[in-house]
Amino acid sequence: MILTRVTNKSMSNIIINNLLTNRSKLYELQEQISSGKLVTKPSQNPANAMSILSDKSSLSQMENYIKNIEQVQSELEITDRSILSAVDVVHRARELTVQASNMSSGSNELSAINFEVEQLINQVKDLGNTKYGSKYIFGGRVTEDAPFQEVGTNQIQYMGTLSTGNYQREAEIVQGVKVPLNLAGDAVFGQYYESAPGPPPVMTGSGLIQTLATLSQELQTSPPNHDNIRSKIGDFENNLKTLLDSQAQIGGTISRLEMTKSKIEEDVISYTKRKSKLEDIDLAKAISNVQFQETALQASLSVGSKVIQNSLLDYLG
Amino acid sequence: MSLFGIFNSHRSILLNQAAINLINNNIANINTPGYSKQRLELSQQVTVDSGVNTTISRTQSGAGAVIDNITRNRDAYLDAYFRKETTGLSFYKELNETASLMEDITNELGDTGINQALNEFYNTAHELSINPNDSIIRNNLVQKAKDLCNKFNLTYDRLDDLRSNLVGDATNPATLSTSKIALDVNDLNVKLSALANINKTICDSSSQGAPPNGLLDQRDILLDQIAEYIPITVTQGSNSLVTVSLNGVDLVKNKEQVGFFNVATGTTSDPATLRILDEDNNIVVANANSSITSGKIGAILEMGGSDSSKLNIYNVLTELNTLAREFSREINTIHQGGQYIDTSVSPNQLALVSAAPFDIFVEQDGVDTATYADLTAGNIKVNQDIIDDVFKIAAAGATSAVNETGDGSNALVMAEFRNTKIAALNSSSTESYLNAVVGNLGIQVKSVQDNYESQDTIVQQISSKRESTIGVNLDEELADLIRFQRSFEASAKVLTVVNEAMQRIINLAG
Repeated sequence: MILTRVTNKSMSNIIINNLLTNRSKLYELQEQISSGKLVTKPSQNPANAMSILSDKSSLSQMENYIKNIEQVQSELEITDRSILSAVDVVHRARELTVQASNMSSGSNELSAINFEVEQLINQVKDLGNTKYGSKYIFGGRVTEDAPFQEVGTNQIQYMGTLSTGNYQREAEIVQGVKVPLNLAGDAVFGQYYESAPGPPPVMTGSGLIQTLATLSQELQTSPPNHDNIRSKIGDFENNLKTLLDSQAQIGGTISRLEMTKSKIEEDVISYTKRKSKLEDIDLAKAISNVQFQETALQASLSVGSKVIQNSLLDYLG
Repeated sequence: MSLFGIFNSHRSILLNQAAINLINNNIANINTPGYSKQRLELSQQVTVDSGVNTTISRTQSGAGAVIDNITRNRDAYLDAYFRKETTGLSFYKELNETASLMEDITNELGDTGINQALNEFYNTAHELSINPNDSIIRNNLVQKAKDLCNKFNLTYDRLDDLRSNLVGDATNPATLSTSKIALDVNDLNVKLSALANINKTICDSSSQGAPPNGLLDQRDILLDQIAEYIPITVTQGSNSLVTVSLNGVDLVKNKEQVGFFNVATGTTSDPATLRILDEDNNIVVANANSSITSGKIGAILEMGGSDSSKLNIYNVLTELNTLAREFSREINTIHQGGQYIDTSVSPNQLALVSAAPFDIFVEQDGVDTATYADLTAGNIKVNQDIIDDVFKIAAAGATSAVNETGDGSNALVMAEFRNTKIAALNSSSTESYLNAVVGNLGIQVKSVQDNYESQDTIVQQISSKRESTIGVNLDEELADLIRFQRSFEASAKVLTVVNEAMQRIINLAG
């Protein structure tokens, strides 16, 4: 057996070192438990820290997508509701047209009907000027000013971005996927206005507004041409089809958003779970580690106090 | 029978007394740092020719014991080994200290880092793309841009301060004199001159024949301390003198300090240049930075330096600058490709940014940032024009008509930039570039910590090995004490016996 010379100082040094090691381990565990985090500094586990960092940005990005989707959804729901109201207008207008096309309708009745048709034109104009927050949703990219302006009696001109132009406002709902969040007002509601002064004045128009405006003209014609009035029923059918198509388009986008949202929400859960696994401590494990470390510290303390006491001095008379 | 017996016992008593004194000294210094246990070197007193030609003296020829020397328990190999590893330990200790400060400053794991600010900037740009006309969101975006700049500035300033505290700032030479490197170099010079002095004292007392054990201990402590600063070579010369040199350049030779360290202002990338001067201030080594790769001073030089393959503050600052520069360059380019809302006309109209270009992110002093050469993480800020008028943010695309203020397509391009991989950012996006910077820093800090820990273990082991050689063991001393106590008693007894015998003879004569 090789005898090593153990001096009192080296003995106490060893004891102190061991105590320090035990205490610093205990401190580390305590820090983990009190912060609830396994990794508070990248150097504690660089690989995990990098995953945590990238998960953090992904999560924040996803939460932002959800927030944006919800906003887009409520804008689309308002769009949907406006179109639905326009559908009601078409139904009422068709009823009125049927009534007016009846041979027995006299000029008094027709002017009463015309009064209501004019109201309907205004109603469609107001629907076209629906706002979401502070923006007009049917104006294409022109959102600050009301897109449908009354330019003359029963003349409504669409001032927004035309459906033939770049009218689409888009929102990104997941990385690289954009959905249009608006419809061009002229495509949905149409318009009718004098585009060049006459005589005879050149009228430009399309869609529901044109049908309503021309119906109103027919109703004011004396004597009334019932065939012309009747022909509007077919026009209203076409307008209704346009509205229903628009509605289907919006509805499709809404349900697509809903699906995307729930997909992102699932991703958020799984990312959060993964991040938590990397970042958060397992409390049960940590606490039992603390207990283990405490026992180790107690042991070093009691051994230390015993070893350091003994010397030949204790036995000399 | 002569008086010789009495002398003999007397010497023996003195010798044992000296031994007990030595034990006393050992016990008294049991806790003195650097004290090495001293022991008596005893040998027989041999009388070559007693002058008295008797049988007894010829055969016995002994005249008791003498103290040859009082030596220190010391192992020169262990000392050299210990010093070498101490140099390494203080190197890693210093590295670790600075590295963990750097890590604290750049810690992105909390909710207050640059990454968070970047993230929020993109998120808000995204919101703006849906509601480009909303002044609240515009204000919010400007706020986020300001936050981002503040985070960049703050991180940069703190790292820069850390660096100038270490090695000074080349653009402000006054900072060098209060830097850590200057203070440590002063300490080192003081220690070197103390070493030269102690060498002189040792030489003087050795020539008088007294063994200067206490001085030797003190010199060993000094050498240990010098080894903490720089990697030294200690050569034992004649007359118990030591020569201390660094890479072949003598610092202390015999009784003189011949190498004096001096710090001079260097370049922006290496702000401190360590020089070695002789006693007349002539330059011996114009740049000793490369030869000091270890020790506390080596660590400061490494952390304050700019070696791209190593962990240092300069590299992190450079990476932050690159990020700030590329980010602002790209965002400004996108911005210039769009249209802002001109609120000076009624109704509000879109106007091309490119018609009279202005940027979102600019330098502190408002100089044209076309080349972005001077834009750093330290001076990036939001253009005051945009802070004053948030509608100047170009959210609309270039092709929109003047009244199409509802177009947010350019804001969407800005938001989507978060996923764009930039060649100058190692072909990664801004966020992942920053994550990589922080992650790499973490890896490097971890490796420093690991090195520090293992070096600490090595030094502890050598230290305890050395302690077991030079340290005082109480049991040993007590056993010796009893040994010499008994020996003392026995010598006294012999003296008594000799004395009695002499008395008997004297009485006979009487």
